[in-house]
Amino acid sequence: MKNLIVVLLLVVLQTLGGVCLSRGMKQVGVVEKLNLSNLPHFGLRMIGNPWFIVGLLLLFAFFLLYLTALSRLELSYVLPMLASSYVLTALLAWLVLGEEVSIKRWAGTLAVSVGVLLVGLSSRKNVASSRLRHSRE
Amino acid sequence: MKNLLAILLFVLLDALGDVFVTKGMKQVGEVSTLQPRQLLNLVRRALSNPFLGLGVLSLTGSFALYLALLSWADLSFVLPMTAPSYVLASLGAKYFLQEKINTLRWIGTIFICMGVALISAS
Repeated sequence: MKNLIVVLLLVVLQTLGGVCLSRGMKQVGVVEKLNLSNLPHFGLRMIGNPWFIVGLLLLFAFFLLYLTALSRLELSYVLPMLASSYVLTALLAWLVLGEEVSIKRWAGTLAVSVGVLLVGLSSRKNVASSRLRHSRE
Repeated sequence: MKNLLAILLFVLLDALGDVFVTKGMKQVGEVSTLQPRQLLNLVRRALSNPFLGLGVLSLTGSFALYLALLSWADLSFVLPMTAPSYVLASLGAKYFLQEKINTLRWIGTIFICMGVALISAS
């Protein structure tokens, strides 16, 4: 249960961070061809954009929590569980932004949901079997 | 050809970064306290851990490469390529971190890969 709360918080931070960042990038302008000569120009404009800064801070918080999670949990559990951000993004796009989501994208979202569910269940099984081992010892 | 090599490098750096970062954090120790003094101790250990440094470097490199790729190549070509990194990271976790991954978790991970590929190709 505690693990699921951490995963949920990670997903929310990552999704919100990404949304803020991309909103900031859109305000700064489309980068047609990023090269070394226009990098400082774009860099300065990004740093001056509040959406970009908030997005960066959220992603930094995400990374700190990610490290905390990895210190206690398995990578093969945490990383796949984070893919639920795709589900959250699709739902947000559909419900909040009213975007039309293609059939292909719904199919992919469904596959990711099934995958996340299975990975989530796999950890419960791991915990249960290790508890069983402990009680036998 | 250049794009394909860059994508390969991006996927590899991404998975490797996650594996290194995990290895580093396992060495640093469980973050299970909010007490300032102990947290400071953890941060100090984290900052001096070579695996963690290497991992952050790999992840930063992969992110920079990703941004560069987005400006060079077609999105519909780049985005689906991020999907295999889930399987790659799990393979790294199995062989490098000695994590025990049961069948259920493998099937789930493969479902996620297919889903991410579908979403990013749409």
